[in-house]
This record gives sequence, C-alpha cells and structure tokens, in this order.
Amino acid sequence: RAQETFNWKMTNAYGPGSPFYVTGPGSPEDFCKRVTEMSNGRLNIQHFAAGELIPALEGFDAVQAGTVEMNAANAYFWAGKIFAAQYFTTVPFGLNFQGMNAWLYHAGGLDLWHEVYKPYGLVAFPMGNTGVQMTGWFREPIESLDDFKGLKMRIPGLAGKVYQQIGVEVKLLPGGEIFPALERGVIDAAEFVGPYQDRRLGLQKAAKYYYTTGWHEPSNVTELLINQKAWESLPADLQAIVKNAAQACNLDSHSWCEANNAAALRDLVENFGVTAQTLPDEVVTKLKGITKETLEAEAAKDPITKKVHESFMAFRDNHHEWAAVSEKPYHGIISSKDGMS
Amino acid sequence: MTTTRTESLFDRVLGLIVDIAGWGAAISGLALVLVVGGNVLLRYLLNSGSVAMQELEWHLVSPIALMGMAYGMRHGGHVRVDFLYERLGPRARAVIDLFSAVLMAILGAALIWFSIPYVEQSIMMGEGSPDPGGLPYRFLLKAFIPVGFGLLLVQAVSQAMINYRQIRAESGVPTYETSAAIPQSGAGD
Amino acid sequence: MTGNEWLAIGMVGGFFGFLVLGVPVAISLAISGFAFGIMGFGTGLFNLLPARVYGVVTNYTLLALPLFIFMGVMLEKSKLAEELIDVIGHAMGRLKGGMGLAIVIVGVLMGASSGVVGATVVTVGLLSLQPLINRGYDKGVASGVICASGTLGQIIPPSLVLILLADILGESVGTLFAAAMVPGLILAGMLGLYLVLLGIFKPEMVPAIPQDERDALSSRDLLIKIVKVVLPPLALVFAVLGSIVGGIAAPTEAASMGALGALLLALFTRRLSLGVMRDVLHDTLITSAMVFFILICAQPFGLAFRGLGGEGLVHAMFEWVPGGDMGNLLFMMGVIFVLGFFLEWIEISYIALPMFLPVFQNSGIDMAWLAILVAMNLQTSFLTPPFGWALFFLKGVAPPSVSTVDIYRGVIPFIGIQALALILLFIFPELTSWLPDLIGW
Ligand code: NA
Ligand code: NA
Repeated sequence: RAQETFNWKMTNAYGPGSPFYVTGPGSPEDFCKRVTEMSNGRLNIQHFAAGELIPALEGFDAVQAGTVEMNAANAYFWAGKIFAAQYFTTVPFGLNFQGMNAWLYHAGGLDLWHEVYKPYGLVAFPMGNTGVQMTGWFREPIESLDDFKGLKMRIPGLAGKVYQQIGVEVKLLPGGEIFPALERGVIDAAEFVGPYQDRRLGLQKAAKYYYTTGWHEPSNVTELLINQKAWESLPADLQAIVKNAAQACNLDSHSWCEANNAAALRDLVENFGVTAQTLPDEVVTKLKGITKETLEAEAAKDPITKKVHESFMAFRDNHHEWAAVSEKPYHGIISSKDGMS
Repeated sequence: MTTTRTESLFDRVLGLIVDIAGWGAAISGLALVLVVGGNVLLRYLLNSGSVAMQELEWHLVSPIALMGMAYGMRHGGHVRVDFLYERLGPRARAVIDLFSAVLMAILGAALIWFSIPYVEQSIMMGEGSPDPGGLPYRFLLKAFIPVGFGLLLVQAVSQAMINYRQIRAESGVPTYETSAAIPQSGAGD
Repeated sequence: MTGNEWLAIGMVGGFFGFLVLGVPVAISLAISGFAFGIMGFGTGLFNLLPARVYGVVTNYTLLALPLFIFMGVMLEKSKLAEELIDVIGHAMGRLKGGMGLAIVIVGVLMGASSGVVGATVVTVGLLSLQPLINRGYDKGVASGVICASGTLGQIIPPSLVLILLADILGESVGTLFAAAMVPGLILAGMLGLYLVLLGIFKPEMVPAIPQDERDALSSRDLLIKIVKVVLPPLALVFAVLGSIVGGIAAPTEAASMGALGALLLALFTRRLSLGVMRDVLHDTLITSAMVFFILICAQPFGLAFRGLGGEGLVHAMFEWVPGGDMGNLLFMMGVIFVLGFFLEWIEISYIALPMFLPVFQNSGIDMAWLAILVAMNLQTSFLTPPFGWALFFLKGVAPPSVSTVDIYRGVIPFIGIQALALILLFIFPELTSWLPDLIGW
C-alpha cells in the first residue's frame, strides 16, 4: 500500500500558551510534534488551542462529528454527556499518578474507557497527568469542619458537590475571574491546579493559606480523544506511533510537573508569605465518607458507570494496599523533616 | 410598529412569529437582571445559592442573543455603514435592502443547516450540565441556535417581500398596495 | 502566496465591499466569511460554526452586556437621564468642553466596573449622545468622546482584554490589572485635556450652557437638581464598582447591581409603569441583540480567515521583518492595528500573540509592559474606521441624524490621542511597572 500522508487537526480545551495543557514538555503541542517526527511527516497534526477554532469545551462534539480528528482535554468535562467519563480523569479520593496508570494500562481501565466511548464513535488515550493537585487557596485558616460552613469557594465538578454537603457555598467562576473575586473576598477559597499553575494566576497575592493535598484530584489525566473512523483509517504503524507518543507524553508531562512544582511551592512560601499545610483529619475523614456516598449514588444510576466505578474502586483498594507498604513508608523515611510546614 | 392596513395576512403572520419569540427573549432580559442580582444578594446576605441558579444566569443569555436577532432586525436595531446608502434614492435603497434580505436568508438557512446535526448530537446524548447540581437538558440551550436562525430566515422573507414590492412600486409597476404605506420595517436604521 | 491566501485577502475586500454598499455589518461579515471560505475549503470547517456560536451566546463574561444595557435603557426610559447632561452642563459653568469631560469621567467609572466594550459605549451613547448634540456639541466630537471613553474599560481594570492577555502571556491577572491602572488613567487624562483644549481653541464645537440660561438657574436649584438628577446614575455606577471593591460581587456579575439598582430606583421614584417596563425590555433586547448579532456573525469570518490561512500570511510577513526586538515589537503592533480593521479582538489576540510570544519570551522584554502595549493597541483598534467595534455599537444607538461618517470623522482625533498615549507608554515602560512594584503585585 502506498504511503499515504494524513493531515489532521487537534483542538484543545485550554487557551494558547498554557504550560502543560498546551505547550511545553509532554503537552499536546509536544505530542503533535513527536508524531510528525516519528512518522517522518506521514501524520501531521495541526494543533489549535481553545478559541482558535472552537471554544474550550466543544472538542467532544467536534471530534464526534469528525470535523476535527483529535481533541486534548480532560474526560470529566464530558460528565454532562457521559457520567462515567469522570473516572478517566480523576475522582475524589481516587488514584494517584502511578495508580491511575496501573489501572488504565494494566488493569482494564483503558479497555473500559474504549467501551464507554464506543457508542459515540470515539477512541481515547491518556496523554498527560498533572499528578496530585492542591486543595486550594483559603483567605482564612481552616481549623475544623465548622470553618467550611458558609465558606464561599470556587470549586467545579464532583468535589463541589461533596463540599456542598459540609456547608460550602459553591461558586462557579471562569479562570480569569478567580483572582479578582478571591482578592476582594467575593469568594473565601478557590481551587485551581497546583503550585506552578496557581502562581501563574497570581492567587498567592489574593490568599495566603494554601492547603494540600488534593483529595479531590489525586491526579488528573489529559485525554487524547480521537474520532474512531479517523483512527481506523490509520495504518497500524501510525496507530502505534500515536499510542506511543501519547504514552511518552503521559510520562513526560507528569515529570515536568514534578520538576517544577517543588520550586514553585518554595517560591510561594519563601517570597510570598504563603503557608502550605494539610487539612485537619476530621475534615478529610468527613469528606471521604461523603465522597463514597456521592459516587455510589451516581454509579447506581446507569450500568456502565456502575461497571467503571466497581473496576476503579476495586483497583484503588488493591493499589493502596501495596502503596501502604511501599511508597508510603518510603516517603515517610525520606521526608522526615517534612519541608512544607 | 409594522402593522399597517396594507400588509397582507402572510406578512402579519411572519411578523407575529418574530414578535412573539422576541417577547420571550425580552422577558429573558428581565429574568437575567433578577437572577444575577438575586444570586449576588442571596450569596452575600444569606450565604445561600445553588449551582443551578448560577448556570441559569448564562443560560438566559442565549435566548436574548439568538431570538433577539430577528426581532432586532424587524425593529430597526442593526448597524450599517451608511455613507453611500444615505445618498441613494428610495429605489436604490430598496434594492440594497432586498439584496441584504437575500443574504440574510442565506445566512439563516446556512446556520440552520450546520447546527441541526450539532443539536441532534446533544439530544441523542441527553446532554446536561457537567457540574453535579447543574441544569439538565443542555440540548434545549443548543436548540436556540437553529430556532434563532430560523426566525432570522422568517424575518428575511418578510423583509424581502416588503422590499420587492417597494421596488416594483418605485418602478411604477402598479401594485395592490401603496409603497408609502409600507414602513421601512427592519430595513432602516 | 497560495490560492487560499489570496482568497483570505479577497474575503477582507469582499467584506469592505458589502459594508460600503450598506449591507448590515453583521450580515456583511458572515456572508463574506461563508462565500470565500466555501471557495477555499468547502463546507467542512463550517461544521464547527454552531460550537463557536454556542461559545458566544453562553460566554459568561458577556452576561454583563445585557445587564449594563438594561441599566442604561432604564435610566433613559424612566426619564432619570433626560436632564443628566443638562444639569452636568450647568454644574460645569462656563467651562467649555465640560459636558464632554463628564463623559470621560463616566467612562472611567464604568470602565472600572466593566470589561465589556460594547456595554459602556452603548450605555453612555444611549444616555448622552442626543443630549450633547442638543446642547450644540459637534456630532463628531460627541461621538468621538463617547467611543473613546467607552473603550477605556478595556485598559482600566477589570478588563476582558487583560484577562485574556494574562492567560496568553503567562502573566498573573493581578499584575496586569495593576500595570494597566496608571496608563489607563493617563489616557483618560489626555482625553480630558483634549476636550479642555478644544474648549479653548474650537469653543463652538464643545459649547458651555449659555450664560443667560445658567443665570436663570439659582445655585440652590442647581444643587437640588444635581442631587435629583446626577446623583442617582452616579450612585448606580458606584454600586457596581463598590460591589466589586467591597467583595460583594465578581466583576461580571457586578453589572447586575447597576441593573437591579436602576429598576429599584425607577420603582421608588414612581417612574416605573407597565408601559415604561415594556419599552425598557424592548430596547434592552434590541440593543443587546445588535451587539450579539455582530459577535455571532464574526464567527464565520474568523473561522474562514483561519481556514484560508490568513494567519499564515501574517507569519510570512513576519519572516522578512528586519531583526531586533524593537523591529519585531513594532511589527507586532502594526499587525495588531491592521488586523483591528476587520477582525474581532479575541481573534486578533489568538492570531498575533502566540506567534510573537516565543520571540519575546527569550528577549528580556517585560511581558507586563508588552501586555499593556497590546491592550492599548487593541483598544485603539476598536476605534479605527471603517471597522471599529465601538463605532458600530455607537451607531446602533445613535439618533438617525448621526451618520456613520459623522462618527468616523469624529473619532479621528481620539485615535491620535491614543496613538500618543501608546508612544508615551513605549518610551516610558516605568508607567506600567511603577504600581505593580509599589504594591508588590
Ligand atoms: Na474595565
Ligand atoms: Na478596528
């Protein structure tokens, strides 16, 4: 068969120039470049950041319709269309980077992902991960569960629903308005990503109490969404290149986050008077209980979500058991002076 | 403002469709003021509010923007560069207006054509808000696109008929209506 | 150049052609986009149109638009604004250009509470264009000052442009807000100064209220009128601003405080009848829809411009710009200015900035300064004929006696002032760094 050249388009849910989400090591732009290089120009993917071709959250429809072949985003943006998609990004008290990859690549996660998307004519692969995120920025310290009563917080998604049940007033705000709202006290707290991205938004100038750890997003998968027909039109070698480039970016993007967050956090603490600390145990315990109830209630609503939920949760317990005897004691040993607080 | 004795029944039906939709949109404008203002005050004074009410804020903009297009056209709320137009006689103006109406009809038809699969896709999935506690039936919001451009198409047809009769009248072709009685509805600034 | 790039140029030409003929602006934009897009790449890319339209009509920040328009229309229809300009004119005494000065001040205040350009131009235009003309102001000057003051909101924080630029340039929103404050106020000051100078050298263009008429109104009566007429609208603008500063509302939703306030004001001063309400809702809808219709119709045009490789054209030109950061910077400013003739500012930011970004990020140029230069340039592009957004928005609410040419002619000196401000900013980067350094943002 003659060597056909493919010219594809990829849209992205994030705006031009965003580190990690658009540009930089392991980013979607990087992915496109790698694919072109590896395929020696047989598969060229032109990348469009949010707003360039379509608005941020329109990628699913565009790929489904086949107008663009690929989209980069987070699967949980599609939760309004397919609730189960949530699990392929993250769920509160879910899996960390290692666990998520273990589930996806070696415990049936990716197969489930493909099963969920098949009726919509879509294929997806993990293409990046932020690693564990931060709880968020608070104007006042959190000492007990009571401090959440009436607290106004910018927190989208499932975590918002969980917070609501301990009395948090959930406020939806676009990224650009988080700063002015937090700075003036329209909201008392805001969740965004992690030290590097949050500093870029300037949140350290609006609030000083930076809580960890991201119980609500213990990792966060970047989704490579592909139109199934387009995918099937690719010869096997190009499919292999796409899969491998995505897997390489999954690793590289996470490595980049690990490499940059430490320095960003140190900068925030040393130069901006930010205190980074963990949430009180009673808060975490309560949130954990509510999350369990919430997820189980949602999972009961449709069979495919139930199937994904059960696979995910079984694997989580499995993985945490191993992490408890491997990673956990190791981190205990090397961070005995706990450099954060 | 456009109901004159000389308008045919068909004209009036088209106008009525655009006006009824327009009033739906106008009431969305009032609702927007009350909902956004209410959300701010409730949050600040009583520490209460809901995700659904916050989503309702920007849901209300769609009818204003999309159903308002045709209504705005019908009631002279659009912008044109008039330095040539204002120097022209009534017949030439009517010709330009007829031309504009035809282009508007093409625009309306094109957007209906492109948006129906988009809305269908959303309906098939029963799309709702990705935020738990948000509003369901997001496909209804998307359906305002073909509806809005459908209204624009209706308005274009209505305007084209008026302009066409105007041209005929200006050319001295006798019609059953007198052009003077036909206002520049939707065609003047 | 490729065939498609020629089509991109043809599309811009076709658009101007429709405009000159007098086809409504929105329709000219959409149809030229469709026609040339289909010639170049068929219908494929236009399947993305519904998503773009949906993006416009569900854009959270554009909420502020109908809210501010509602406030303006309510003030107008309940006759709360009828005497506004007159009373201000009396209060300004024999100062020629005084009423225009008041417009600049209102522009600053509204600019400090909104980031949506159409909102301020339309609101101030509704309230003051006809009264200014009634008072003998030159139509062009009146239009120009409203457009220029109405676009101040783009540089005076909070501002949509700055939020987007912060995102693209990787600067914090707070830093850009602080950096824009001083340049924004300087620009406002220059506009004010121009009006005062106009009052001295061309007094017939910006007359004061005649002496005898002023004498007829005692200072006690004037004071009462100020309280009754000037205070309420001013209070509304402060309610919007105050709710942001006081931490009651986020920038976009703050506009509702003005709208709700206007409603309550009309209610309590017993000016709200069913008829007034009907007129207010009708006008709010027509004016909001006018702005949205243009924004929606800009989508096929922007999509086609991209699909035809319009940005490739800009890239190609960039290749043969003589080297050096200053050369690149000047070229970028030129590109943004020229694109401003026919593209919407978001499209411009997305086309021009990511392209230049890598060049400047390694050059040691202060990105905050660059952002403010770009913001001020974009703001100027709102004013440039033949296709300045602010000009169209004002035309949409202007009385029939004000023609497009009046607005085009009137805005030219104000473009000159903005260019001057841009040059000042270029020469003195400290204007942007002073405040952020001072408050540590
Ligand atoms: Na502003
Ligand atoms: Na312009």
